[in-house]
Amino acid sequence: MTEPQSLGLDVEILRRLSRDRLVRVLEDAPGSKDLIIDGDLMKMFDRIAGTSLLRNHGVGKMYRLERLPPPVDSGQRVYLVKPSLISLKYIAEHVHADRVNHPHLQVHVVVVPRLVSWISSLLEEEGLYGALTLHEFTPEFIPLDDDLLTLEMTSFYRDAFLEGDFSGCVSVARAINTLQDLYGRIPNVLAHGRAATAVVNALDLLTQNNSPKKSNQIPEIGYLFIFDRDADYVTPMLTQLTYEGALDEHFGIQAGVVELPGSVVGQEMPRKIHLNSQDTIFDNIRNMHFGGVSRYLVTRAREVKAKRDQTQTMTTEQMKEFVANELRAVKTLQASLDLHLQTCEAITSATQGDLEARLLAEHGLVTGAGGAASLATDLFENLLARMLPMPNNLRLLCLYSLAQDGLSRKEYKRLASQVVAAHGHRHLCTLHNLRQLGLLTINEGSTGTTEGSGSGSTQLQERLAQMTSLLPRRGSGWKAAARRLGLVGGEDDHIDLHSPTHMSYVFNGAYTPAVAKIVSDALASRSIAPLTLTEALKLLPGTTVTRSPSPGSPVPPRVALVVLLGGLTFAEIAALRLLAVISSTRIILASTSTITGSVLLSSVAHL
Amino acid sequence: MAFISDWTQLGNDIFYRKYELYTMEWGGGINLSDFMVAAAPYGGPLALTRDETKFTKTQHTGKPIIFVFSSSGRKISSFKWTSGFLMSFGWSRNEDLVCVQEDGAVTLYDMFGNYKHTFNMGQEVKDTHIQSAQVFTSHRETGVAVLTKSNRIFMVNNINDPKTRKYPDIPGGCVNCWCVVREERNTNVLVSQGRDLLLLYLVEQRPQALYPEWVEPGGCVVEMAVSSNSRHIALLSDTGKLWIGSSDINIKYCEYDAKSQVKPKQLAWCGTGAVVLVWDMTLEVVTVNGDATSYYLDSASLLVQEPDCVRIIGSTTHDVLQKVPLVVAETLAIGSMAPGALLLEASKGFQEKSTRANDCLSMIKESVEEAVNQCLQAAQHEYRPQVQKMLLRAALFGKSFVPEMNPEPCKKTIFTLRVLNAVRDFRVGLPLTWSQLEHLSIPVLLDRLVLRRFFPLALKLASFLGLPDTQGTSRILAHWACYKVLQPSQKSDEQIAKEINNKLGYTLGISYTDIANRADQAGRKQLAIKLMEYEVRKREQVVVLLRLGEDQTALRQAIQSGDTDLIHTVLYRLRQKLSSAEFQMLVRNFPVAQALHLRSCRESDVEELRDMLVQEDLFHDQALLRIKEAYTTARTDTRVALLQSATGLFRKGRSEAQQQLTEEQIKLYRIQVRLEESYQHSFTDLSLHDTVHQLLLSGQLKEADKLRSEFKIPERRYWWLKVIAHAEAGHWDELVNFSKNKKSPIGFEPFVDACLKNGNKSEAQKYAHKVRDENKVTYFVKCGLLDEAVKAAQEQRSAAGLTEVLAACGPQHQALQTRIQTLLSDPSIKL
Repeated sequence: MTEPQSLGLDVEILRRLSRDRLVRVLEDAPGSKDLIIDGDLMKMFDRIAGTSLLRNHGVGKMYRLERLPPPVDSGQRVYLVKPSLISLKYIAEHVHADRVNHPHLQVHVVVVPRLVSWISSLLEEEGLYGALTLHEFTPEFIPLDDDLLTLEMTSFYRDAFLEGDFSGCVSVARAINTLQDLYGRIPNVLAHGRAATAVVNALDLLTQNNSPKKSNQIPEIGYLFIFDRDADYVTPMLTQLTYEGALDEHFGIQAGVVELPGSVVGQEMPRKIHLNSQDTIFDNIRNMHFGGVSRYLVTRAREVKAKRDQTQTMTTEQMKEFVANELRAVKTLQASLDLHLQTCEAITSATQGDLEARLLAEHGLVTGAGGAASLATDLFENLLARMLPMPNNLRLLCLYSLAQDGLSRKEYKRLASQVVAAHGHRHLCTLHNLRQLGLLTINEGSTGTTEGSGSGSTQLQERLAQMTSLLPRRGSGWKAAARRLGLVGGEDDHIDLHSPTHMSYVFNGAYTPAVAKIVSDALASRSIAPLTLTEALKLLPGTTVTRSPSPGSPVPPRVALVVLLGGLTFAEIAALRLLAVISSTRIILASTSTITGSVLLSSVAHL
Repeated sequence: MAFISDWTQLGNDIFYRKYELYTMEWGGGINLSDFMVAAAPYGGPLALTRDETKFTKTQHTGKPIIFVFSSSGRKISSFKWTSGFLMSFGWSRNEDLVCVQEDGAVTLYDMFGNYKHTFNMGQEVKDTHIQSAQVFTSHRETGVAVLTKSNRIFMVNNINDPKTRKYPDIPGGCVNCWCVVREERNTNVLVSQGRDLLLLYLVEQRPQALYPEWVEPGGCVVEMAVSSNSRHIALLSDTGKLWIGSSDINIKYCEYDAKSQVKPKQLAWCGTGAVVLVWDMTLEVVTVNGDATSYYLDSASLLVQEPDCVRIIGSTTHDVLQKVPLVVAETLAIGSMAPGALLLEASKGFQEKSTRANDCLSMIKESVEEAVNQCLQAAQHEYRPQVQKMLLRAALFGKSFVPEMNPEPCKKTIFTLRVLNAVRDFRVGLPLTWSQLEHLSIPVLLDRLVLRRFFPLALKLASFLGLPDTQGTSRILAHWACYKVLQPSQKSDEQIAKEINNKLGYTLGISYTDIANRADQAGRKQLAIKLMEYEVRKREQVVVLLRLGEDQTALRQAIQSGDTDLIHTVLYRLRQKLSSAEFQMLVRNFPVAQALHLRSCRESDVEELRDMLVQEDLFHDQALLRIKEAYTTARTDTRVALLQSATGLFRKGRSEAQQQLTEEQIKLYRIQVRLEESYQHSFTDLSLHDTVHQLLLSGQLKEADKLRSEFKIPERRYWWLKVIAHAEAGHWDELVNFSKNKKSPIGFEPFVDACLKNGNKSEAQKYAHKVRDENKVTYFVKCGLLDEAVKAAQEQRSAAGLTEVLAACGPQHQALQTRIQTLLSDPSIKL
């Protein structure tokens, strides 16, 4: 793959912004201090600041926030927490407990990403007003790569889509606004979905407050796309087939870091690996279809070996030059090749046998192939019987429901009872959540009353449904939308998986991620939202917001920012990276976090 | 020449001039000596009230009335003084009237007589009462000092932050006079008692006696005055001697014999260069060098000390007495050869078309620029517009000979003079000098105009000077709006709000919140609510609406803003304010808010959540809530009870599937409890599959079978469970028996996989022969039975199978590899 031309947008500056802001917050508590971090924020802080930076600014020991207070070692304590009730209760308990023995301990609480007003009321109720100092730390998008940004708001999906709490949208809008501050106001905007609309509204408010000078700046980013995760649930439910996707599915990638278990890398301790384009081998294979990765790696390994073999016959002069110039590079290349070969092997052996059946069922469901439904239910039953982990099983169930535009009542009952038998009765709640989210729907047809609600009790539920952006009878949606948008099946039936030209290669040609397809359609047309596209978008939950520049404005640069609220899969990332090459557009991807379907489902499961 | 006719020379090249600012508009009827008068510095307002210590003819009986006039004698307001005995009053830096009562209560009014606030000088003052009081300008603010009847001095340094400080005690005996002396940041008090002069420092224990150097010692000081900059002091003795020196009494500038046995009514500094004494009809000016001159007055007058002059307010006129600034003296004095004077002469000659112009210009060829500056500066200090014009014309004339000269000073002078002339107008009555305006700054001047409610003038000046909106126009308009909402009007609240909005628009720096607050304070709640509709800052808007009791509107606006935090804030306030039922009724009209509320309930307040769900008849959700609760309790009976109530709720909500599943769960749970008792293993939190698995692992086949039939586990699933459990537990015999028992519904692949997973290849091989034909090759390879794999592939004539085996071959399988190669070359093999 050739890299799309870099247009000088340096997203690395975002990390610097976050870092400087963090330093300022830390220096608000001058001198030495202990740091206590909310577990959910650990990964994010790893990406923003290294330990040396923290040490330079007086941080002594670091602890994870737990119920029991850590020992008191220095005169100051800084908590980094999300604005959640539990974290604050813990802090309150800590302060009350330590107050007796350490009356001079100074406590600072840094709330990430936003210091919300109820916190101070809560602290007042706890009798802690004045006993601690409150701060706010708003991170910017964290660049995981030069085209991938994340806010690491891992609870965004649950908060917004399940609980109807759209607070996170303000943080997203702020982060986008920073980008606009840096690179000029983005002229073309296409946003779809409830959360996306909320982000656009918040963004409008923020830009109103910007200085008018900014609006004259020539934009460096031409297009902004914002989508909700529920615009395309099918993509996360499908098993990812690119190398990076497979890594995420098997080992889990958090904030661009994968932790490979010791058994894979051949050592005792698990090994953390930062995944980014600096590793040239990884950069080449990350978006490759998994089927072609090992072949590529073997070829490259042979090349490297050949290079090394050359050294046997080198003269001293040549040898010197080799050592001076190339040895390091060859060594890192070798190390990287070894690593990826090992992980490749680990993934292959873990999926052996199961993968084909699963893909057959998944792709059959999506393309609507005959017999796929029964194949899928059989597979589902097997998965449950084999006591495999729940999120992965539910993925198939959800995909089944989505692709069929809902389950019949009888089918739902049967499948639900299987889920309960396999994973426990409490997961009735999980199933309920999935239904609220529209991941699981019951097709009423003509029979009977609405599930779970008497005639009089639908009101709240309907209203809540509006809230959480699910249309009560979403069942009518996916098939029609997929057809309208042309998501199923490629242009030609045969897709070259290994030197792809069509975005559906990420799912063996069976399915194109909706977000990638919409972006591709919008970029291909003259206006950001051609009529056919807006018509098709109507079939997806939520409403569309578009902004176009005033006529006569300069042609927008071919740089697009694509924001996905509620999580972005590596399959979509790969598809959009391909689109970037095909359409010669620089595409920067941003999200609340990177996810797999299993992560998404675990986040809404009832534990 | 007319413009120097009011000059009086006092010493070398020093002139003083007295200029009439205004004819007092109050008419001649007021005899100032009958009144207690206070005038604010910087041309501020005058306050008058009947002097209670004097016998005067009054029209009113009972409570005295306080009148407030502008410097030109135009009445601003009057109000009845209703509190205790008024000792003294003065003006603060913000032009508030500070009234000190006998019992130490200090009350502040604005110049329109609106009450602002009251503070107290402390209990001791209250008990002992005040003998005399002074309102003074302290380091930053306005302060109040009082002398009690028990000869103690108390002071508040800042009336906005009243902290009473007590000064060291002074010995008993009558105090002749006293005054406040500022020294850097400290405020000291100088007291004349008998023949002593005592300086009181706040920090010292006892007063420090001072001994000014008199020519004839022995007199006692009866009057004293400190200059505006606190550097100089004038002391007047009972023998009529005036001592002028530094305020620390160390340096004596001069001593002057006033030759009057009558004590002057007032002693004041004129700038820093001279002291002014005033008697009933005469006024004497004594410079620090001891030169003196006197003026006659036509009525009893009041002296108002300013930093650069002194104002003399009489019954009919208001004059200013000041030292003629040097530059003015040089430019305007007769026969002056200063460049400015010559330029002025040249300019005049030019207008008269006389050759004098050329003569004069040629004399200042080298210093035209200096001459221009002199003319400009002279113009700055002139009161009369025609003199200003004359000087400016000269300056501009001179400037035309110096093309590269910076035009800014000219421009500034012209603009500022226009402003000065405008505010000096008798209708406004702010007789500021140039240097006073420099000191005050334009924004403060605008504030003072706004304070006097000269909104149109302020607006005009702001736009004339081209001030940015936030400093000028919008700030003035905001003040106007605040004033507007206080005025009674026939118009509806809606109309007023609209009018205000029309005028103000949405300019930066306008806060509708402030205006609404003002309206609310004035008791016009509806107007405040209407005004808040125009507020763009949602947070302010919502907070004020809440305070005004507009809960619904506040909530609606908060939701509109999309700011969840704001919605939380509203909900939080409302929850404190309303009863639970009221709150729920309100919130159910707002789905967004309701969702947020439900969420926070879920986290912190299960009772409230249940309440709401019951309220809304949400049986399904109630049931789910019970289930969640059931799994947080460890008590068997509680859990069963909760689950049972959940089934009831599911039934009510017509969720048959869930009801049935929950009933089954209760059954399972009871069995699990029993199992736990008999097998000492935890079962209760396991799912059905896990329970069966656990039973199989521990070899309780019978129990497992029982569960299977009880819960109708389908055969396929049960086979899977068994295979996995047996293999995991290493029950290889059981597994073999089981496989022979019946034809496997799940095939034999799971057997192989399970064995391999648990690391038993030889067991796996047992089942490899039984797998379906199409999988045989793969499974043989898996079990390491390569020969069999080849055989199978050969039977199936599958090239793919053969290649698969080939790929699995290691170096030890040389023979096999060659065999496969030959087989592959066989044309009968399918490709």
